[in-house]
Amino acid sequence: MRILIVEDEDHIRQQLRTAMRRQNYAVDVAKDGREGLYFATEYPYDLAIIDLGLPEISGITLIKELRENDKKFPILILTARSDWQDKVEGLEAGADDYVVKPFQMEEVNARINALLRRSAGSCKPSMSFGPLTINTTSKVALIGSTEMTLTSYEYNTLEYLAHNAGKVVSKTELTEHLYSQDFERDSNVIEVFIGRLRKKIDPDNQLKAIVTVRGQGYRFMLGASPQNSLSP
Amino acid sequence: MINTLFGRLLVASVLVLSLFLGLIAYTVNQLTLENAYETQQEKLRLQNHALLYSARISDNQIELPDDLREVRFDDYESGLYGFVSDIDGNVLWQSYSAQSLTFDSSIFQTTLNKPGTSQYEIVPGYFAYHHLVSWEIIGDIPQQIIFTVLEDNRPILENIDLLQQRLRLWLLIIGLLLTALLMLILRWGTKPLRRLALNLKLIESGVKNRIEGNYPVEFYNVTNNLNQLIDSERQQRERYHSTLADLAHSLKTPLAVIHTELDNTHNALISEQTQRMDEIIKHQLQRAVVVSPHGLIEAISIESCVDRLVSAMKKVYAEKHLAFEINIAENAVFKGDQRDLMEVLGNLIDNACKASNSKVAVTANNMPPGLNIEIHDDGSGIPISSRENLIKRGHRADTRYVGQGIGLDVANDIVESYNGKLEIAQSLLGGALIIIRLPQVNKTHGQ
Repeated sequence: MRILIVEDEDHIRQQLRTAMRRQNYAVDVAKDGREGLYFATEYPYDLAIIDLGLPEISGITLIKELRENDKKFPILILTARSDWQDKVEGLEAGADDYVVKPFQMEEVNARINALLRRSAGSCKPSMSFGPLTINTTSKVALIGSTEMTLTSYEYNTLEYLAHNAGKVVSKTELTEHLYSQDFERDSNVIEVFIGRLRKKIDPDNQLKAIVTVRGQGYRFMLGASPQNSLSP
Repeated sequence: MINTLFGRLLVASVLVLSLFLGLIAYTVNQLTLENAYETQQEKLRLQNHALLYSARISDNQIELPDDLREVRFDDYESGLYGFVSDIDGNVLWQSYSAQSLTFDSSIFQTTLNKPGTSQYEIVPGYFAYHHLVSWEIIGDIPQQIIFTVLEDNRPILENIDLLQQRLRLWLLIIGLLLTALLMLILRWGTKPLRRLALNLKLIESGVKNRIEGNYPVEFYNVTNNLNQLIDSERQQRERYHSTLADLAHSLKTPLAVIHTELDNTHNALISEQTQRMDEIIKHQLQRAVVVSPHGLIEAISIESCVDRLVSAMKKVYAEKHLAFEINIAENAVFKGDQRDLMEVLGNLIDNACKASNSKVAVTANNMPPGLNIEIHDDGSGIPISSRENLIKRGHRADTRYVGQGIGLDVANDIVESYNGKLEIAQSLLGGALIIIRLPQVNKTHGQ
């Protein structure tokens, strides 16, 4: 999952970047509204965290422009102005949720998880696909009741494919959603992740969870319509 | 009516008009009577002199011809009677018209004592004109005799009475016409005032936010100054909001940095203190910006504010799939700053969403003595023992009931600043019910 952080305050921007990376998200940061608009227009994001009090272009204007440009990813606003007028204006502009400064990072993480789940059409913290269960809050995948041992990139690949179950996801799309803008990319790495995931989910190759669509990419086949359930 | 400018002017005008018409009636009545009496005097003088010139002395007696120039002297009980009497009141001659009538001798007794003088008077039932002469009737001794003409005054008084009745009728008609005309003039003259009052009422009720329209020169300064006052108050409020928002931003950003760093060090004391600092900033800044309610402040629609908040809550609490039941009366308006209303309702609806299981209801109506807003939820409610403490001023944040955070304190502060009251009760939905009662601001007298 790739997240854009638009925050003019250096400390908070760095704190958010560190915290999001700790959650295994690919993170890009922008220090003002103009830079944020450029990133959001140029790269595919799964979520954006936008401060309302931005220089150059205000947070509200940035959100409006993104929505007018048909950017549908969820937006979490950060605001020091805790009055409801500003929160409502932000939400009316197109944001999906808000966090008031000063915030606790756990709260930001919880809001991000909830927004990502909602954007994937799920409102529960875990997704089940047959024997496979993915808990997006604890970032854990289970086969039956056994926890899978996954690296952060493997988990992110699995979660992204699961969020897009039934759809063909190209290698480029996967790369863009797994790596931040300043990361050295190698498309062969994706093939390696997919190979490892297949082995870990389905060592006997009976479930055929991830299939290759020749010339197009990969399709997550377990429960093409994800069946949601409460986490165990 | 006496409390309206139009009523006062009308009552004063009608009183002045009545006095004026009354004086006219009195004057015309007096002039009519005087004219009638003088006309009668002149008439009787001429008839008296006609008798005098017709009289002659024959055989030591006064004689008058049978065929007098004035025929009414010769008509039976014609109403005009002629007499010649001596100074003692003894009648020496009377006209044919007076033959069958009896007259009190006092009628012929006058105060005249000098020959050639006359006396005109009104005696019971008659106008009387006497003229004293000194004639030598018997021998050379002059004898004073009086020529008297009486005329029945009833027909003349009846005529005067009829005239007075007509005069009163006409004056009444003129009075009514003038009153109607005065009303029209007053309505036209006070139209700008009524328009100004209507504009102020529309501003009070929130339909307009400025005084509009053309006014007479005398009102220009008033309307201009009122508009400037309304504008400057609104701009000042916006400046306050903007400055305090910037201040909040400046204070809260470093707090956010400290707070996030503390996540890593787990320093509970500093964390608690920064939390309190944040709450104090929020609380005090909110209180500093609350406006004083007054009549000219625009009225904000409760419905539109609730609609905006509910749309926002549906996004924020999307995962709870809450059902919102909104029932806002059309006349439910808030006389105050939109941000204050948004802050009160935002905090309370947010709390209700947090506490509720599946349903939140908001109702509002504007019935005497004021505006009532209710926010219901179907959560676990607030225990009676906690209710008073929750809205007590200065109550510590860390002792608040779960689900009703600092928002309730802020809402209570704002409601109190508008002289309102916030109450906590049990909702029929099963959870908490928060009631806001706000008095009507500057209710126009007589409305």
